[in-house]
Amino acid sequence: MLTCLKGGHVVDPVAGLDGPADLWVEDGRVVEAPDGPRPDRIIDCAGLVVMAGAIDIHSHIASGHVNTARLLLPEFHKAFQARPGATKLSQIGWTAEETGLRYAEMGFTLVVEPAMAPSSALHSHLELADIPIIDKAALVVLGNDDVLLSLMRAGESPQAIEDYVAWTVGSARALGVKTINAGGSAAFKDNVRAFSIDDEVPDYGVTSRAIVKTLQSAVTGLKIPHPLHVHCNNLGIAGSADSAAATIQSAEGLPLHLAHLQFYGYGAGGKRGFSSEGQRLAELVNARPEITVDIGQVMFGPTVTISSDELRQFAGRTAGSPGKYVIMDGEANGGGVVPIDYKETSYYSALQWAIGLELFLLIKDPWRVFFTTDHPNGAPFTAYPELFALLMDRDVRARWLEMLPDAAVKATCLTELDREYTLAEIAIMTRAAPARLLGLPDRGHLSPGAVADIAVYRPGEDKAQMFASAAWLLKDGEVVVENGAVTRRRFGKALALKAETDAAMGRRMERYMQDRYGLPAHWFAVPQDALGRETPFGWVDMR
Amino acid sequence: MTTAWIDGEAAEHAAAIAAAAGRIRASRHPLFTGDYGDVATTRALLRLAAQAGGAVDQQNAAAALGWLSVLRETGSFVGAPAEIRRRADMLLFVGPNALQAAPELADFVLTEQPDLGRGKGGPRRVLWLGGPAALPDLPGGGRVEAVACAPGQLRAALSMLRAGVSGQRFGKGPLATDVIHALAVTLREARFGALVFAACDLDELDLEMLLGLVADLNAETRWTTLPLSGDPAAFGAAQVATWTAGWPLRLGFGRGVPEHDLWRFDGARLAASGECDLVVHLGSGEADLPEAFRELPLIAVTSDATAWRSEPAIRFTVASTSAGHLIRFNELWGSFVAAAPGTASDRPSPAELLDGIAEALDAASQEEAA
Ligand SMILES: [Zn+2]
Repeated sequence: MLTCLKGGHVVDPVAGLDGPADLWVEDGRVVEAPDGPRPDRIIDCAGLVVMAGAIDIHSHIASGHVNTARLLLPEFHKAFQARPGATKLSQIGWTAEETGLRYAEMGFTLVVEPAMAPSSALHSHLELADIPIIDKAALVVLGNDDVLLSLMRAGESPQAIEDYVAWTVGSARALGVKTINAGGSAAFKDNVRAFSIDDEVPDYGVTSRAIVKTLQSAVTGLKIPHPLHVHCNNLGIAGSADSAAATIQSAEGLPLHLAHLQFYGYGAGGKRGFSSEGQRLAELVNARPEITVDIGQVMFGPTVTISSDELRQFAGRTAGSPGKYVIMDGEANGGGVVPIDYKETSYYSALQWAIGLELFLLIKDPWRVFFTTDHPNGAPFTAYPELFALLMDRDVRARWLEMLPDAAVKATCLTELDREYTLAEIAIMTRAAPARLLGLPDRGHLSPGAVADIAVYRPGEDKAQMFASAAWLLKDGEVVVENGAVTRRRFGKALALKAETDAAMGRRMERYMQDRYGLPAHWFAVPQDALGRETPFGWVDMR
Repeated sequence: MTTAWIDGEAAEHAAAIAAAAGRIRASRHPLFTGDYGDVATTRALLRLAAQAGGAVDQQNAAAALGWLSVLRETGSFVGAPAEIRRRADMLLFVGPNALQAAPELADFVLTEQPDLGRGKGGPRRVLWLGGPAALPDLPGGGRVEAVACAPGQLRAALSMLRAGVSGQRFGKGPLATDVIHALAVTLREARFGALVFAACDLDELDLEMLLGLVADLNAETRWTTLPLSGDPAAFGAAQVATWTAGWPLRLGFGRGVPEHDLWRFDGARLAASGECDLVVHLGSGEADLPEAFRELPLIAVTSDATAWRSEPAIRFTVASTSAGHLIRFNELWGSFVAAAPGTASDRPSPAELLDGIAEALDAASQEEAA
């Protein structure tokens, strides 16, 4: 079927397009304007904005920890059902089904779960397989696991470590590798309560820095397109900016991605001992072209923090609201679930909100800064439209600032920042740059050959309204959303790397699992036929 | 090969599927339950129940539910069995049935000495609060240190222990003061301790007290818990229900959206009260069918083809082996695991059968709409 999206304002920064154009789609791909044949379907896009489907690189949508959060907080889902769409809490997108529908309605076509534990990769993929419409992917977590730390302690070769990383990526069907408070969870199980980049993990004698550098080399050496995705030490505490700064400096010219930088934008200044380091971190990022970051913006309202940073979740456990938490002593990372309420009236929450926006507005290159709320840690992903409005319109920011405590407003430079993101910059940050960062050359743009994931929006003064509700969404060339509502429910794929695994490493892992646990190594695997979908995976090339 | 019977008479498979869909459509309030728990079956059962507006229970749901209700009231520390096996230098069993609830799991954490972290290489101490009168031999040959306590006194003992651990004063109770003081010191000396208990065996207030003790111990050292649910299938079904519907079992879809209520959607209660008028039951055969469902119209999905003495309205036999990977929750692993493929079967899998009924139901409602 030949479809023509006619007369829209196409915003495609990769092709240098920012104006009226027709788009042609056939067999799930964007095609050249054909010479002869008439389209089978014309979608009138006059007056509408046309972009590639949006890509979210960091959103906790599918894992054992996410399901534990659901189990811990039945009241969240109850509120959702009572008043769908009425409050931020109610928009949390709590089931696999809701996750797919809500993302699609906002024009998203690919979402990455950033924290898949190797031992529960199957659980993550089972949930991902039940998320309708969109494509998805997951990053596999290493850096607190006994195998890696033991290989490092034994001084094994970079080749052995690459083989192990490749084996894990292959077993877990991952699109990339993440490390979360590298060594910190392992140390916490040995009762270490504070852990920084140059601290050693007891018993293994390796530092957090060494773990990050080792994994960065392996990811680079294996030609995994997505740079090592790092959740730094000391998340969320006053003074955490030092940890982020040290990690940025440790990149040493090789690509490195820092997750949810906002949660590290804190100094210990001021009379409350909690101040903004947004400017300092933005300058560091601006000066280091090998660094990319996502923000983890805080928006106001109740939500839940879900993290494989067990040490951090332990430290924050008593500040939860409602007052209950789950701390998981997993093998390797473990993690924790702590509900939280970011209140507009709180100096701390308000400053967190402001620091996120400082980073967005002060980091100059839209190719290196990514919108996220670290769903659901800073806010549910359904808050994105409001976030885009805040970035695109300084008057919207001014209105929000009026509602915040004076002390917080005084502690941020946000009032001095005039920058407004253009549509083209939004298209870079939400489409073109994520596709490039993940190594997906046929996504994030609309040139012939691209996957026909296309979002069409109705522009208006209210940018939040515009991005909340796509006028049209095409997934693989098929219309799935019209006027902000899903019209066709189908299933996408999980994107996974074509990882080549070394047979000797496979045998070594089999021995390790038998020796230490008496269990088979294939329990790490995610068999294709286990997921109940005809084509569960889409394969992605190494660089 | 016959795979379906209507009123005890062999039937064409397609005709029986249509009859089952017709029965479900005609039912006011169907109940979907039985002994299931693999991911594909649970997924298919939830889909069918949602379409039919029915209630969903699982034969052993109660085993998982007590623990899940406490978890969501108070939260908890929870440890992966794999980590406890390798790291725990102290285990505290609580309650008389702590070992019997999941013997395989107890074996798994007990057989080897710790080889990770601060407790590495050392012996592992095993204490048992309120254990059985005759303590069993431990796998791996270790010795158990008994702390006697009658089952009815567990909560009081745990409460004293919490006070002892936190350095607070406590009054008289089931354990002597010096026993509490000594035990508190011991527990605080653990480098990585795990409190092991049969979650289905303790009441909710006992569980809350026990989780409180672990939270208190973590102020200074590391402790975690190992709840033994007693039924990984029920726990697996609860997990699938949670990402599908937002809540664990038990569920009802009668109002168009999933609702979660342990009491309202208890299958035995629904049958006894007459609220449900049709049961769709998964099990191995007639012996598997709980008494509560014998008086109701029944669609039985069984792995055993033996004829029933009292034949249900419709009976299907389904595959008991699978050529593909069957996914189940595994307590040792603490997550889902793919079982190695077995031999192919001529019969449909339970999931295929349930999907077939769902499709027939779908087609029938579309016809009606048109
Ligand atoms: Zn995150």
